[in-house]
Amino acid sequence: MLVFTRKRGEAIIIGDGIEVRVLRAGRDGVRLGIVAPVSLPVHRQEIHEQIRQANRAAANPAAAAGDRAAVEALLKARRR
Amino acid sequence: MFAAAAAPFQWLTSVEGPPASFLTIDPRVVLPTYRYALSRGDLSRLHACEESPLLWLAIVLVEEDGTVTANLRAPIVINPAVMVGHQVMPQGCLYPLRQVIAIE
Repeated sequence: MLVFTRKRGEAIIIGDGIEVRVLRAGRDGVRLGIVAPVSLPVHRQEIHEQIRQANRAAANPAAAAGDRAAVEALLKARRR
Repeated sequence: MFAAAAAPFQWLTSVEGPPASFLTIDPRVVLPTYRYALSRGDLSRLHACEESPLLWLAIVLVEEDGTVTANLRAPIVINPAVMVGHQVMPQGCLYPLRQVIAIE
């Protein structure tokens, strides 16, 4: 991992178009400002990880047969 | 992939890469008041403008106890005009990752 020391207001540049700037540094948090091209999504890591995990759970091929059964049961209950 | 038998659910199946299939549902079927503002970046990645008709799909998860939930927090949005789709992730979305699909 590349490590930098930055003061408030200072930034680092990644590649050609990404800027990460320290806006505020406090005792329990650092406020960062990110400038990136619109084609690049920027997310908090925990949200990104949460969604990846949810996707992985939903894509589990072994569960597909079980999914079909559960969905059929749900649909049957709905039609009643 | 649309299958009448599964309606209102739809299967989304990968045609490239590792085999994967997702069960999905229109988030507005789960929650009729569902509203999600796409960011400028989301729209640009979808080659869409605000008026473009888009297809919305929430990924469905069947929990171990048989509860069926839909991911309303990070829906898949497809622009059918150019056949491009992305899973959008919220900046400040209040919808749940696991919304139970109610049996009426």
